[in-house]
Amino acid sequence: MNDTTTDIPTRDQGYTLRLFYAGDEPNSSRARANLQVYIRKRFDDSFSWEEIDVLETPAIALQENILVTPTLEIFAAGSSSRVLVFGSLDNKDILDSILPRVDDHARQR
Amino acid sequence: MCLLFGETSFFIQELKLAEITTIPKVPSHVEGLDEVLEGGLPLGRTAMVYGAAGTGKTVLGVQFIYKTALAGTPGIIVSFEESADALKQNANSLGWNLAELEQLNTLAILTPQIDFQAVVSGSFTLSGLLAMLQERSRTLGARHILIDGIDAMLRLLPDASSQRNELLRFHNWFVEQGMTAIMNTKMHAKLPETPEFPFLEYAADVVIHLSVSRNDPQPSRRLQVVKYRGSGFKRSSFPYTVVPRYGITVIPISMQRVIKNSGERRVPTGHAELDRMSGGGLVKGHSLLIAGPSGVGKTLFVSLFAEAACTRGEKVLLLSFEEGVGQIVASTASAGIDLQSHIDSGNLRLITHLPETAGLETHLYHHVQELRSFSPDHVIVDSITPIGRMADQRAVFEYILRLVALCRQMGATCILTRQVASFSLEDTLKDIEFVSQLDMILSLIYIQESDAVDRALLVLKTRGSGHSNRFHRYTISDDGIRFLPLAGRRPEKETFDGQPIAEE
Repeated sequence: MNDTTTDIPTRDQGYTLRLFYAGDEPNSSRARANLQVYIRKRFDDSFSWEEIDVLETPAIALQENILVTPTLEIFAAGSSSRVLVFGSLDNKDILDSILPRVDDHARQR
Repeated sequence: MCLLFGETSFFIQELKLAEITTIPKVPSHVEGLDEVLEGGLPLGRTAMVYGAAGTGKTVLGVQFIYKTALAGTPGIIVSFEESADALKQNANSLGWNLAELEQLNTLAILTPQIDFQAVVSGSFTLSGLLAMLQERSRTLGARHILIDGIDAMLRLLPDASSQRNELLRFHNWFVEQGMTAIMNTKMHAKLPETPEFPFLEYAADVVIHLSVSRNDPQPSRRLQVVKYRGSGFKRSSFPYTVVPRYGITVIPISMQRVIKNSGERRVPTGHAELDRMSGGGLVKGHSLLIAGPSGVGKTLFVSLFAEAACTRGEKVLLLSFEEGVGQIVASTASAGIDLQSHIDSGNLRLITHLPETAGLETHLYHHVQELRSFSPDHVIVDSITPIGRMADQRAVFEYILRLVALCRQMGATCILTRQVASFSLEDTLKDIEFVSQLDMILSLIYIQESDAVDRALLVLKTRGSGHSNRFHRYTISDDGIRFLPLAGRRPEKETFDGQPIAEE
């Protein structure tokens, strides 16, 4: 597992976030809005994340094995295993619990 | 009584077939299934296949995609349960090379991984998966799709309404694309005879149920079409088997009945006395059951018949579930019957399968193939008793029904022997559901005298002709079978039309 960590882009911000969504499907739009609000509150303005529309670029869904939309993919810096969050991200507590969890995981390594 | 009912419904289905011109169909490439589906799967629509583990759901779906891709129509296999490598290996064991078609770009395997570690927060859909399918089918130009394990896909979703909605979305996409789709699913854990997600039955245009009976020493597999929107289909359940290269092979019963009675050809039984008793011998295409206890001479009768037929230059297929070829030849040779020279000349073909080596439907499949390739004038099964060891009454009934029907269709006489446990006449016919399918029944019995036991033959039934109603005593010696004169008995009665048969 360790030898693949170099493939994962690590950033100073500690996490790599990618949100896969499906065009203007209601729960996709809600997830995008929720994520934006959450990140503004928790991180500073320099924190960046990626949003990928699987309807626009289905080849990425195929490549990344994204079955569910919206899916938030979280990589902790230095970690090769991804954590997926399915859904419209309505529950902020869940994100709160996952982001440090990924953090701890990274620290342990 | 059930039988009579079954026959009537066959005719009703035939009538329906004539009236309705059905929707466009695509051949399933599953031997026998198109006959059941009256042409094949509905073109551009969705079929659902459900059944317990080990029934061959995946084989059926892969067979359709592989064989149609081989014929040039691109198709996708989406599997939630097996890896692409496992799928290819299993297909290889049937002689199907999926990798080759992948390289030719007529077949694609998609194995979406379900992430069970994922955390759920809020509502979601399977648009990602749909986008994956769209992308892959677009690049391939796919016309056919198999979703193997759609239950696994639906289980991703939190509740029944989102499961229904998502299924509908996939279904609508298939329809929009004009894709012919097969979805496979498991059985419901609690409800009998029901798929895992019962609403799948409503969404699909065709529903096929595969089942396997596990009570018998050799499990028997059955296929039944539960519904077919916009088309007629054969409603009964059919035995099927999985054969290398062919994959799933369904064994439908021939609906064609030989109606012609005029010009029917009589076939000598190999024994002049017996010809006379049975009103002139056997009729070509008819079936005959010889029932009797062990040692009474059943095998001798059929061997004499086989020898006589082969000597006349006719072809005989002898199927045995007990003795090996050498054993049969040797034991009949000791009774003065020469089967070996007829095997050598090619007029006689002797096939032995131990019943335990395969399911009865697999035996039936091989026997049907044998019949088609050899096209014999006569088929003898000596005896049908061992198959009762490994299959239930119904499976045995189906085996015989299909064999008899095919023989009738091919114009071959079909002779079955059956061992009965006791000496009583009732036992001869006990538990034989297929009696009404048979054209002639001979009962061989032991008759107890005060100081000896004699053998005797009784013609119990002949269809369409008269026959003797008497017990005819016979002896077995090195010269074969000799009937004893009917001395000191009341005059023989004709049972068919009241005309006495002239005594010789």
